[in-house]
Amino acid sequence: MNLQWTPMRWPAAWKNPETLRLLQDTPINCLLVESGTDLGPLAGQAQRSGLAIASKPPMGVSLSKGEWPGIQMAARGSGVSAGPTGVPWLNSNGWRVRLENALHPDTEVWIDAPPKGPRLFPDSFAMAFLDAAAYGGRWLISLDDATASAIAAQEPRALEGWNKLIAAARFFDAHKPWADYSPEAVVGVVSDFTGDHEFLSGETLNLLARDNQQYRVIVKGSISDASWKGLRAILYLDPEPPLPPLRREIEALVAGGKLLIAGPQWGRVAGPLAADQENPRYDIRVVGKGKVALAKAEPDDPYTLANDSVLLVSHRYELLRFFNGGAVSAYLAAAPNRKSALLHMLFYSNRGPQDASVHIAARYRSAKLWTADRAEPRSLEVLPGRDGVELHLPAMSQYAAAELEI
Amino acid sequence: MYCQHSRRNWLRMAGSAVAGAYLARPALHAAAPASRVTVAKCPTYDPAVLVPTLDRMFDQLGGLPRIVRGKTVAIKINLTGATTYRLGYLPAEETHYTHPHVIAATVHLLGKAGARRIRILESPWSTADPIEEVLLQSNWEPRDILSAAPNVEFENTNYLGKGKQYVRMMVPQGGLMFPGFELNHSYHDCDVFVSLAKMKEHATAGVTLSMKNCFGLTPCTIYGSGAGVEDPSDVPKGGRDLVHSGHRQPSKIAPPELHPQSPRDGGYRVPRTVVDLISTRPIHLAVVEGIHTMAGGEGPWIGGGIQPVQPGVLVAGTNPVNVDAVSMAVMGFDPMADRGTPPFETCDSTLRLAESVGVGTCDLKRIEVTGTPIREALFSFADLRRARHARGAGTRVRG
Repeated sequence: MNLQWTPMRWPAAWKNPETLRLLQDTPINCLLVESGTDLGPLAGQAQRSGLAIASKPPMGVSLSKGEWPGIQMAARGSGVSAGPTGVPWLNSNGWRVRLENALHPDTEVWIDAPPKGPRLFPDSFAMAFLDAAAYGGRWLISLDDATASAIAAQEPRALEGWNKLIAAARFFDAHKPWADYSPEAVVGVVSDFTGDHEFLSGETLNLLARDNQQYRVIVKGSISDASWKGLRAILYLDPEPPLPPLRREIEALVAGGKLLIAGPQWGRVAGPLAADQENPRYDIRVVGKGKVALAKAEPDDPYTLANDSVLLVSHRYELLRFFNGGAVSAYLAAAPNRKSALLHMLFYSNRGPQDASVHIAARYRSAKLWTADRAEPRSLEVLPGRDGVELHLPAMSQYAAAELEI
Repeated sequence: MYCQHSRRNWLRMAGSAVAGAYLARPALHAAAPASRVTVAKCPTYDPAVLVPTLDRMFDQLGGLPRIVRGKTVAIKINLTGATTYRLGYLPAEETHYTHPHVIAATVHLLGKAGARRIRILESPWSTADPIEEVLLQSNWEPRDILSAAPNVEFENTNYLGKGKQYVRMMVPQGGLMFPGFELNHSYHDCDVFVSLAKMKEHATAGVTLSMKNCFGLTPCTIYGSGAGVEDPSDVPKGGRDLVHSGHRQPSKIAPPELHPQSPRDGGYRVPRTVVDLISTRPIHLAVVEGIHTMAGGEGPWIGGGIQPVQPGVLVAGTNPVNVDAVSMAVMGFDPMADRGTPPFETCDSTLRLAESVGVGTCDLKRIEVTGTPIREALFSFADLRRARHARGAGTRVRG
């Protein structure tokens, strides 16, 4: 995919044409304005600078409503919200980008997630950009009024945050081919992801990501052999059973060794109960070389569904395992030639992690580490680990990508 | 700087007074049992060295067969904190988890000695996942342990687990903090109970050895931050803050604490709770692993000058107080120390409290030490502690 745009919603507070200077030599090339807004002399100047101005996204762009990414702050006080496991609750738009990419493979994905929250930090804007870009999308850059005014007034802290945001945009502008990498995954999530299925399927993707489970979005009707490549398990989400051809395809994959996780709608499964695996919410049967885990009741809680699926697959097969990573989210994707891969790592806490390391369940030979603040990568030692390799990460913040060679 | 707040001073005095009252019970104190403790230098986790070393130590205790032949053995290991924590880049087993090779070696020797069934128990941080899954998240291979002897299994005891109901187990002497506990069935359904601990200091309790390891017997569904008020929660959430701070009582299914007016201070409450637990669920074999560990606290989250260390030592015995006393001496601490003296600057001594209720003596003069003499096994956590405090990086105190 040829990513064409780096979009920004024009801040209402930027009325002075001088503010256009902030966009000079940046990748920002599309300004979105409210329909009917009169930009006055700004419009002509912007167009002369090569900026596209529009009231809606151009053709070939899918605009998806997102969440302001980061650790969810508590409604009161300075604490952070916790997820059901007690770990800080993260909002990320990565799954939306990936879902949109799967549903509309030839479109660019913009995430519309205006700043929100009791406290906005200057660095949060770069994080919002990185959170979409790591997954191949673009955040529709949106500044709150206070930040936009502070940037226009050249206030140092605000400018520092702006410069970080622009550095992040430049970094991904220089690495556009990364958007063509395809996800390495343990579990394939099968659904049509629309209509009545939209909430459960989308939220399951979101929560799988929170569980650090590497997944692949598999859209019914767009399935190819590559859809199943490398998977350990298939999570069939829709309440209706699949059409016979897809059913036969999945049954063959199970017979070959994969695990199918599905609701009771899948229907009767012949095969003995698995003696070595129990789950209170699933009947697990051995079928050929694989297994079928059939939910006893229709799954309706995506949190339970995601957690159950991780356990049913087992942590044994997880691709990534972080230590001291803090509030981290990660995405492993292979290059089109499959000779290299990228591990995108997003660190959402204000301070980056110290002494973080990641175990990758694959035998990579070499690694280099890209960060958004450097044009060149750093070399990174690849340490042998149990069933894979381990990377010891230097101190850093917000985002890094390990480029891994097989 | 320690005990700088008047509330803390009050708590310290109150704690000392209560502890003193227990220590003033001469009959139990004097009668506290003493049994043989064995110490061995072991610089490596290489099974070729580790297995014969442990085998020799158990022989020095009279041999495992007399303890475990034909019995169901439960082993409480120490996997404190979330699996994602590391001290620097070191794996957890090098610093704060009981090392899997020590677990496997012990399991192997128990199996060889004729144990009928071996159940490995832990209440891992904030999860009802099977222990095998927790080990996998730690980069361990559970099969290495499961295959070390016949009939080995794991159970997560942080919730109901495989049992149909929790088991109420009462403290024989009435209890210091709790009269009894509601525990996972595995602590009841065993003939022999082994505490397989890591040699560490502890932010709240001064040290964590074979007795403090048993703090994790309590299921967080009843004794944890997310415990239900009336009934236990289905799954554990968070740590055992309610035991540490006493801000609320356990779920009503469990006996409430005995003295609700007692100090709401972890340094007072945790040692007493531990003594109640090890009185309720007596330890038949205590093993303290200090081959590679950490100084300054029980886990990487403690901060404040913690560091990895390699004492290269194992301590074992059949009386946990005796074993912990010898372990403390190996760590360079006075096992007879009490509140106000390192490592118990802000807490009561679990050892002295356990001695006061007659579990065992911490008087080295009464304990027969075999194997490596303490002076040869000495690795002074105490010196490191003094150096940390001199730098102003004292062990963080909870509660």
